[in-house]
Amino acid sequence: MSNLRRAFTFIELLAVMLVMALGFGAVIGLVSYGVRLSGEAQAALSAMPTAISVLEDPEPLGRSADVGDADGDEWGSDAPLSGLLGRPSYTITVRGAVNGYWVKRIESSTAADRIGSAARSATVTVEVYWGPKGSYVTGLRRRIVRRGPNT
Amino acid sequence: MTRRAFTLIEVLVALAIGMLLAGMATSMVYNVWRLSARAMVRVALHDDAAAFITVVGSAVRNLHHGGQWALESSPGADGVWDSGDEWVSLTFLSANEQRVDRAMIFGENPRVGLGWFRLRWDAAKAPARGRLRISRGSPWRATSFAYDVSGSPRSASIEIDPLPRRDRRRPLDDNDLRLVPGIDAATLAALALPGDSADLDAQLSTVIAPTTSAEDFRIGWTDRAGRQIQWSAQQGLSVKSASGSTIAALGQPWWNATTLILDGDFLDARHHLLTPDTISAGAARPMLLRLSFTLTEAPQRAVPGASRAYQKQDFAFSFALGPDSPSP
Repeated sequence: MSNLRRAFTFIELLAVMLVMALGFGAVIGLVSYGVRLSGEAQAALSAMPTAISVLEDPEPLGRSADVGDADGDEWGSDAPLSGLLGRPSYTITVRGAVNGYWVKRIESSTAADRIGSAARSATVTVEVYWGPKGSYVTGLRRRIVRRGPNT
Repeated sequence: MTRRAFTLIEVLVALAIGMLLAGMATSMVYNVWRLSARAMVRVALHDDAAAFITVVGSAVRNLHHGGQWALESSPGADGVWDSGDEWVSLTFLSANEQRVDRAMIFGENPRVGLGWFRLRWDAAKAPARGRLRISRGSPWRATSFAYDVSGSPRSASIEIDPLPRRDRRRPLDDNDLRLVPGIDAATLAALALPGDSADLDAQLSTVIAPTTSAEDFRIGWTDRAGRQIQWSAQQGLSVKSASGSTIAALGQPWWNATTLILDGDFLDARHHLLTPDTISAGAARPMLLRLSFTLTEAPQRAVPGASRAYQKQDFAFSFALGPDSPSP
């Protein structure tokens, strides 16, 4: 009987460690998947309210949509937001970080959208991204009416 | 069969690989643990923010422009902004969404379908850190009282609805009880019925989790004249014109360093100027409400070696405030 007993071989040990490594990897993969699911849960809670909010307001409180984000508040645009009623047409993109998301807001209006000198229609598209890889979370598109101040 | 033990090299290689695997596993497990803890807190913060904006958004989107809009604040007992004891409240009239719950009976005795809504933030750290609370006024309140007419005792009852008030000069606590037939000053004083403002304060409740704290609360709006109104605990109340120049407060009870109360729209959309105002009540009505705040939460799971610092998330939300009233 003693002749049949032997120690593990080196190859057997390596195989065991390989199986253990695969097991660790699987467990860690599952937990990472859970973390990703929690991110999606976060998105389900506040991504669409954020999109609606930015659609209605290109300058959330505490952030200015200045050209090129010169003030460093992580919220900037590619053109000034002033004087929109008087322009023949425009397309302005505002982008930056808000509520833990990366948000892009594109507003465009053509000459045909002008309603006299005090108002005009515009189409606004908002896209919300999340996470280090910038995964697309949600989006929204709506027609709005811009109006001049009422005194 | 030849039996032999491991050679020294084999043992060393196996140990090295084993330690390498163990190190990698430990590091990965620790990082996953830390990430999951952070994710839990982050979701909790977003959950709190979602709960808050759902409640506030519902009231704001049902804003009734015929009622007062009142921002009231205080720098606290020390009279100094940014000293940690400020508070601010925003009160407005809102249509009730859930009419049955709000006791708007669909019968022969219907009640008013409007109610007062109050949002209040306190910077004070005690008893709760940075309290953020909301309140909906009672649908109605009732009481009975006795009075005497020429030696004959009588009794009467009073029912108070959340009365709409348009005029900014009229305090919310004025319920017009002095106009109740048969009531005299002594009886009125003895009733001590809370007005709508006191009722709102009595019903303030928090909408975020007890473990979450709302810090650095800011509130602002743009009105139909393009003015930018903003309040922060650091600077108090400020009003800027559409061109960005600062507009000084009028020093009136309805507009001073801590308070700005707006008239409701006339139901016929009539323009209205109250000296020394230069902007009509209609143009001063808010068009876009802006809120921003920072929610902080303690780590919910102890991770060895990880920072125990509170996790924070800044939030900013804006709400369109319903349609304008057409000019006459």
